[in-house]
Amino acid sequence: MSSWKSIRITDRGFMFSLDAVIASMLLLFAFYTLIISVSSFAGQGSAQEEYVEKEMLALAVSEAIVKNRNMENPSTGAAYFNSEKMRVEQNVIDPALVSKATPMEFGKYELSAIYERNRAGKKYFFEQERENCIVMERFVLMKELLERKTIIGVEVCEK
Amino acid sequence: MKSEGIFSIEAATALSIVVFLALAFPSNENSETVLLQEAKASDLLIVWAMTESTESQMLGDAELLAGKNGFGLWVDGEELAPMPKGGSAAREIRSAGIFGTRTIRVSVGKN
Repeated sequence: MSSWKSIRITDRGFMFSLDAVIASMLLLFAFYTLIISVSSFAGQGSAQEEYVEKEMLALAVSEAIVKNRNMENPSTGAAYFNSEKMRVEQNVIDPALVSKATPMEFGKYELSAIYERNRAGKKYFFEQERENCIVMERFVLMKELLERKTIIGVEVCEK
Repeated sequence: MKSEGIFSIEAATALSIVVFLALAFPSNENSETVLLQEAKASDLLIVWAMTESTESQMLGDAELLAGKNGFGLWVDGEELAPMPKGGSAAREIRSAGIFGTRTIRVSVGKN
């Protein structure tokens, strides 16, 4: 005669003990929290990386404008050329040259505006309406008949 | 067997995972911020060197660039404006220039 004995799985609390349920829930919750925090961290890192990239481009463009001189493309250099000293003067801006600057593309970003700011207010040399912009301001000397200390602002935006 | 004061393998593993995760992710400290601040401070020093600015002019110029409490300025060791609070400026990033007999130090905070 067969001696099969019927055993229910809950008889000895093997599978459905309260402890096991709580432990499983805690484990799942811990995994869920870990996944959420890692994905959030990754998202934050990506956004931060993009911001830094834009900030560095703005710094590089502003640096080029105030240190270099490019007659053909003043958006990459509008520094004043001192003919007596036979050299380009850093942080001295040629107003005639900077007023000819135009928007310029740099991959997924764009030089969207250049302006001058002083105590009297802000004057744009050119401006394009864009979103997600970053502004870099540099302290310079504007070389006019009367030299004046002023701020040149550069706006780099996403296209 | 007594095992007081000794990490179990589970505890040691958990601890090493935590340490690994802490080291695996980069810190949020922005080194590019330092570059931006240095560039702005350098701009001020370059222009002041060319224009032989007075101390009140320097204060006005730095305020125009960095805002009222956004910069620190020292001339020959005398503090004209205190170090800006917070951010990287708190780590005392200063650019210095010597103009004739004057030593000027300036620190620009992140706007």
